[in-house]
Amino acid sequence: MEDIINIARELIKRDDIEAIIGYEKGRAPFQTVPFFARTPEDCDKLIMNSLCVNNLVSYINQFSGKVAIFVKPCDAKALVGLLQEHQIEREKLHIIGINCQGALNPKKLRNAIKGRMVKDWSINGDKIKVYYESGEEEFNIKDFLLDKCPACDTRTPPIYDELLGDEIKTADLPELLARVKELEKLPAAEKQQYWNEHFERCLRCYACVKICPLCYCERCFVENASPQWIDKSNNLKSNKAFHLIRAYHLAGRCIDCGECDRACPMDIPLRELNLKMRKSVEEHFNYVPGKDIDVPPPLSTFKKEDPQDFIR
Amino acid sequence: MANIGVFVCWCGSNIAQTVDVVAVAKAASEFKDVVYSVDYKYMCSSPGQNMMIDAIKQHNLDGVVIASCSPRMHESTFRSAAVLAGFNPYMVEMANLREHCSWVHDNREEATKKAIELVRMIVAKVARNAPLNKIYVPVTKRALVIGGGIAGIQAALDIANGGVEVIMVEKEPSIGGHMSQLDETFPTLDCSQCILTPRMVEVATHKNITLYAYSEVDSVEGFVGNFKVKIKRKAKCVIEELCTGCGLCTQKCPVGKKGEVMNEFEVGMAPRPAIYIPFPQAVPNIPVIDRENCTYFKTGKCGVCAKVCVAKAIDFNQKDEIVEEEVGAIIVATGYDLYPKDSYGEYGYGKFKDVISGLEFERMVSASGPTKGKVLRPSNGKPPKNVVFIKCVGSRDEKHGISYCSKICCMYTAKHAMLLHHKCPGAKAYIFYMDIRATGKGYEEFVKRAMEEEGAVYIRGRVSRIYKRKDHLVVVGADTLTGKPVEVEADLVVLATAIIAKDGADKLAQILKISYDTHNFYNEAHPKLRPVETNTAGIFLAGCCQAPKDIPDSVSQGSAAASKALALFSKKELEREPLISRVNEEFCVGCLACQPVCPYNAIEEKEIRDRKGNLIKKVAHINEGLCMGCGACAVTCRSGCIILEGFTNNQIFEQINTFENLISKFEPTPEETVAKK
Amino acid sequence: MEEKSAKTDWEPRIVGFVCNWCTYAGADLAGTSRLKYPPNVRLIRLPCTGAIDPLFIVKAFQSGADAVLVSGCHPNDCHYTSGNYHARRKLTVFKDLLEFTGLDPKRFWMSWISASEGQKFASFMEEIVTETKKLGPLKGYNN
Repeated sequence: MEDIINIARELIKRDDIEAIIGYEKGRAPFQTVPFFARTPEDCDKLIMNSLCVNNLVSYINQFSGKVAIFVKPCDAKALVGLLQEHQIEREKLHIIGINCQGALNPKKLRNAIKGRMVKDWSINGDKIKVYYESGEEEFNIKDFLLDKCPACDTRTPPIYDELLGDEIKTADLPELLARVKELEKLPAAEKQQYWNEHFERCLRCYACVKICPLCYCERCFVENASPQWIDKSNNLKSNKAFHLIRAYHLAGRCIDCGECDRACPMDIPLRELNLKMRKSVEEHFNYVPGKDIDVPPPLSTFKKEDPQDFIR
Repeated sequence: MANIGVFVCWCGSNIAQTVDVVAVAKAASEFKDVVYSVDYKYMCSSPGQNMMIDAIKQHNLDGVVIASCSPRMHESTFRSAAVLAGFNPYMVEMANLREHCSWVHDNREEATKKAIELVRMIVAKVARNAPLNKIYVPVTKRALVIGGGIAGIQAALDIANGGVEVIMVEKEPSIGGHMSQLDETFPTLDCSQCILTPRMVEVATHKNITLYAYSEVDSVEGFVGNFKVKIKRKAKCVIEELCTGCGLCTQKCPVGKKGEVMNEFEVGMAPRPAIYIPFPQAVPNIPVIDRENCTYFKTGKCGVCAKVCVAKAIDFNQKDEIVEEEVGAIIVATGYDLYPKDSYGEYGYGKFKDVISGLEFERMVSASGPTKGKVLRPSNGKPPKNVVFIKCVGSRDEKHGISYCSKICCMYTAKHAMLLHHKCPGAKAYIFYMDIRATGKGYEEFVKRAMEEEGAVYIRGRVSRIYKRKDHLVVVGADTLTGKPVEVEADLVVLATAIIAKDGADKLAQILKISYDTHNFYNEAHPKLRPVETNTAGIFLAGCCQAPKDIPDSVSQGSAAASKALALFSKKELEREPLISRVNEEFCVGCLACQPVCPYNAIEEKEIRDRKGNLIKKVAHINEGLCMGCGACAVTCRSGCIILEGFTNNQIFEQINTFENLISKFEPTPEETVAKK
Repeated sequence: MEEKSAKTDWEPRIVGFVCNWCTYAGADLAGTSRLKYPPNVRLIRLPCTGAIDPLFIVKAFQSGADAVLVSGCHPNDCHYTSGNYHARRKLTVFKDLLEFTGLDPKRFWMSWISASEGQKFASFMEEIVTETKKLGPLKGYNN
C-alpha cells in the first residue's frame, strides 16, 4: 500500500499530471470505489487490493490533461483496446502497472458472512480478515475469486510505464473456454432453450453496456431510432436481438474483464457469449484482444486465406 | 408521407404469362404510400416511359417503382427518363418481376404472390429513399507520369498531344527505360534506339511536358482530380540551364578508368566516370555527378569537371530539392527489374564469366554497347562457337523463383538466336525451353524463322547444372521430348532471367495508396474490364509495373491510360454517383474501425473544433471524391453512424419489415379483363 | 423448440442478401436461362456482401424468415476488391454466435455465386428450400 501512495505522491508533484486515477475504500462492506487524487494529501487515501474490481479506464476521458492511472491486467487490456481504437491518446497517460493474482467477488463474500454486520475488513496476502461488531473471521481469498480469475493468463499488465513488482508468468491454468465448449456440445434446441430463458429475463437496463470499458459509442445501436432495429419493449424477440448484436460488437474486442457479468442484476451469463466470440476470433483469425495496439481490430481487416469452410 | 407510383410491366408476355400483372398492380394500389398503380405492356418503350413521366406530374409522385425486369438491365433507362421529367432519378427503384420471378417460376399463383411481395418490398424501400444529387469534384487539368520508359513516354505524349500539361518524373538521369538498352526488337528486328529516341526527344521538347529526370515522387496527397505531389529532385550538381551537354567533363573525370564504377546502363559491362551521361542518346543530355563515387565528394579534392567546364555549369553545392505540383491524374509506369543474378547457383551466374543475362547479351549485340556490337566471350574476348540460351530462369518456377510467366523471354531468346546468327556467322544457338509462348502478331512466324532459317536448336527441357571443363562450359540438361540427357559444350550461356517488380514498387504503392499483389506488381481495378485503372480513382497503370509485358503491350497500355486521363480531363468537373457513404458526425466517436476496411483509402480522421478552435472531437470523414459506395464502412460502424446512400439502414430495414405480413392470397384477374387491355 | 410443421400448406420463407455484381446478376442469369427454382426466396440487393450487417440477418429472422442467405462474389472477384473478404470475417463470427445461441446451422447460408453461375444459384435455392422444409418454421426469434 505504501508503494502506491509513494508513487502517487511523486507523480502528483509533476506539473504535467492532472490527477491520479485509483481506488479508495468504499462505505459498504468489501466495497472499493474509483478515486481521483489531485493533491499529495489525496494520495494517502489510495488503496490497491484484490477487491479493487472496477475497470478504471472509462474515467480517463473525464480529464483533459495528462493522468496517471493504476491498472490491473484487466484495465490494461481494455486500455490496449481503447488505444487501438483511437479513444485515448497514449501521450496523455502515465500507466502504473499492478500485478494481479485474481480479484475478489464481493457478492460471494457477502454471502459468506451470512448477514452479520461488518465493521471493517483488511486484506493481507492471500487472506481477507473481516471484523464484525463482535469478533472477527478470516477467509482465504482464493475461495472467493471472480469467475474470470482462475483461468486468466494475464497476471501482469500488457502495457505500462512503470510496473510494481516483477512480471508474473502463469502456468497450469484451468481452461478458460471450458464452459463455452460444454455449451457448444448441447443440441441446437437445448442451446436455444438455455439462451432464450436467459434472454427472456433481461430487463434491458443496459448495465452491461454502461459498465463495459469498450462500449463507448455515443449512441449505442440499441438506441438508434432511425431505423429502430431493436424494439424498445422488453420481450424475448428484441432482448435476443440486443444480446446477439451486443456480443457480436465485442467480437475481437472484449478483453474478458467480466464487468458485464458482475453488473448484470439478472445474472445473465454474458461472459459466456463474449467468450464464445473470443474463441471464434482466436480459432479463425488467430487473434486475441487486448495485446497489441498497432494492429487493426480483427473485424476491420482480413486475410485472403481466412477459413471459409461454411461458405458454399 | 410519400406519394408513390407503381408501374407494373407485362414485358409483352415475358412477365404477364406467369404473373398476373393486373392483380399485382391492383394489390400495389393498396400498399401504404402508393397513390397510383398501373400495368402496361412495355414500360421500357417510349410510350411506357412517357406514361411514367406523365404520372409523376399528374399524381405529384415523389417515388416511383418500376416492376419489370432486372435493375441491372433498365434502372439507368428509367432513371434517365425521370431526369427528363425533372424528377430526382434516385427516387426511382425497380422490382425485378422478370429475371427473378416470371422466368423462374411456373405456378401462376405462386409467382403472382411473390411478385406482389417483391413490389411491396421495393415500395417500402422507395418510401425511405431520399433525393440525391450527383457529386461534382473540381479537376486540375494536369497529369503526372511516373516513369519515363516507353509506357510512360507513350502516355505522356498522348496526354500532351491532347492539349493537357504533363509532369514526367524519372528516377534515372535519362528517360528511355529498358527499351533504350535494347538492340533490335522482336518480331520485326527494327532498331530499338531508332524508334525510341525520337519519342524521347519529343518528350523533352514538347511544350506541354515538364520533365523531372533524376527525380522521385516523395509524397502524394489528395484524391482524383486534386492530387498534391511532392517530387524530390536529386542534386545533379550540374546547372541544367548552363550545361551545353558537350560531355567534356565526363571524358576528363578521373573516376572509372580502372573499372571501379560500372555503368548501370551497360548492365555493369563497362565502366563509367563519376560525372556521367548514361548513354549517348540520353534525354535530357545533361550529366549528373554520382556523389557516392565522386572524388571531390569523397575527399574534397579533384574538381576536374568544374575546371574543364567552359559553361561553368558544375555546382558542387547543389542540394536535393523538393518541388510541389498539383495534378488531376497520375499514371504509374515504373517498369520492372530483372531476377537477381545470383539466385541460380547451379547456372553459375556470377561464378563463370561466360554466363550472362539476356540484357547483358542485348548490350553486347548493340552497336553502341561495350563490345561495339560484337558477341564476345567475357572470359577471353573471343567470339563464341556454341551459345546456350536458357529460358524461364526464375519464371514459372514456384520452388526457386516466381510462379508467373515473364511473357517476353520466349520472344527475345528467339531474337537473340537470330542476332547471334547475324553477328557471329558460324556460331550455333542452343535453346533450352519449357514451352514456346509466341502469341503476338507475327510472333509464331518469328520463332519459326529462328528455328528453320536461322539454325537455332530448340531443346525442350530444363538445365540441371553448368560446370566448367577446360575452356568451356558444359551445360547439362534433359531433353524431355526424347527422354535423354543432353550435354552441350558451350562458350557462352545466356540466361533469360525473369521480370520482377521494380525495387521499391511496394513503397511507391504505399505513397500512392494503390494496391499491389504478392509479387509487388500493381493491381488493376478489374483484370478484364478495367486493366489500366487502379482502385484509387484518378491513378492509372501502364507497362510492366502491372505485370510483365512486351513493348507493343506497354505502349497500348500507355495510350489506354492516357485516354483514361484525358477522359477525366474532358470535363470541367468530375461527376460522381452520389451513392456513397456518409458519416453522422454528431454520433461518430472516431474509433476509425471503418478506416482499414475502405478499399479506396477514402476515410480519414477529421478534427471537429469549436469557433475558438478548441478541439471538440475527432471523427471519421469520407472523401466523396474517393468513395465508391461499397458500404463496408457502414457495416463496420457499430453505432450506425455511417450510412450508405441508396442502401441506407432505413431502406433495408423497411424492405425486411415487409416480411412480417405475408401476402396470403390475391384475386386472380378474369381473362376478359386481361383480354381488353 | 423446433418442431416439424404438421401443416402441409406451410411454405418456408427465405431472405437472401446478395451483392449487385455477382449473385444478383447470377440470379438474373438463372432467369434469362429460364431455370426453375421454388418461389420462396426474396432477394435484397446491396452493392456488396461487405455491406451486409448482421443486424439485417437478425431483423430478417425476427420478421419471419425461416432461413437467411448471404451471397456474393467469389474471393478475388469482389467488385470493390475486398468486400467479400470483410463479409466472410464478420459473418464467420456472427454465424458462430447464432449457432451458439441455438440456431440450426442449416438456417444461415453463405455462398459465393458469380454472375455466370445461374445454374448454381437455381440449384442452391432449391437446396435451401428443401433443407428449410425439413426443419419446419423457425421459432425463438419472432415469437
